[in-house]
Amino acid sequence: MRAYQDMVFTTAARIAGNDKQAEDIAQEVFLKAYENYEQIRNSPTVGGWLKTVATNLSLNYLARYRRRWRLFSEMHRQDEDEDQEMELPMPENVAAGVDLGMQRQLIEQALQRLPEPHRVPLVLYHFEDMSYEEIAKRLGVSLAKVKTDIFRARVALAKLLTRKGLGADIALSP
Amino acid sequence: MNADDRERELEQLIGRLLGEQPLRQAPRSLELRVMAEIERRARLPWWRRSFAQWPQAARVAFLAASAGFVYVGLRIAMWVTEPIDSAARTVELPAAVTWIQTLITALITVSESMPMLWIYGGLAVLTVLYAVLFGVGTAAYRTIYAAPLRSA
Repeated sequence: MRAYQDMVFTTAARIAGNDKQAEDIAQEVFLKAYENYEQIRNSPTVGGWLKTVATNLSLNYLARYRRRWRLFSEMHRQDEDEDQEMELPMPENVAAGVDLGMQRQLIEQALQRLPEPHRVPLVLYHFEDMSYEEIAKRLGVSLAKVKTDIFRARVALAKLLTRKGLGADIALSP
Repeated sequence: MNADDRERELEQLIGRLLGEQPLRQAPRSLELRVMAEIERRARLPWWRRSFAQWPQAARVAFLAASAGFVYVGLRIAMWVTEPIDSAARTVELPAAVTWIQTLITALITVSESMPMLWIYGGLAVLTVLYAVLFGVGTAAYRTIYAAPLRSA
């Protein structure tokens, strides 16, 4: 368990966007692993199994508990995003003047602050190496929505990082 | 540089940034929680564990009993409602369950004689109450739960 707990917790935390819930999900993952111990004990892909279970449980958790709340709690923030002029911020000087450990912490914090509909596809794309098509299928949304959400997530993430002093804005228009 | 180039550049940049992120450290409490939960589950008697972990005989008996309950329930439902569906057919009911039949008959009579306006009005009131409850719940969620997360 010690060899995989960071991976399982990180997977759950990035998808769920909340450490407390991620710990609950990680606990559930290891309890499932315990129940299936005989099947996975000698498997060379136990890490992949745990990651898949962590991803699925995190997504199930979001689908089960947040669908209703998400509608209201993030609608406002989405509207705010759409009202703003679209810019492509480029936190290109990420390392400049910021300690690497602090930079990584800021990135994790910025990820958690993204609205769930943007964060989840972004995490699945960049951390779980899923394709746009796979994400659309897994989340039950259109391919176009996945692409739009991931694009918005990147823009929002870059803005958040820029605001934290990790880069400089570059306007979209030439 | 056009918009597509900038988008591609942003994708590469974010991909690089996220790709360099190390795993986060799991809380120390996680292992303790998992071990405690495993021990707690191991101490549970078999009938309080998940169905998949029940003894084979118990699972078979449970399924048989469930099927029996469903069958009995259906027979009782048919028995109680039969005189309502068909006035010509009467069934002798035990005195202990006669009130159920009376209650069902009364409910049907009331619903048939109620003006449609009352029904629509009642549904409207229920909808408003649900919306208010939903709004209060959402406000509580945003204030108590979501706001501290955003400010963290």
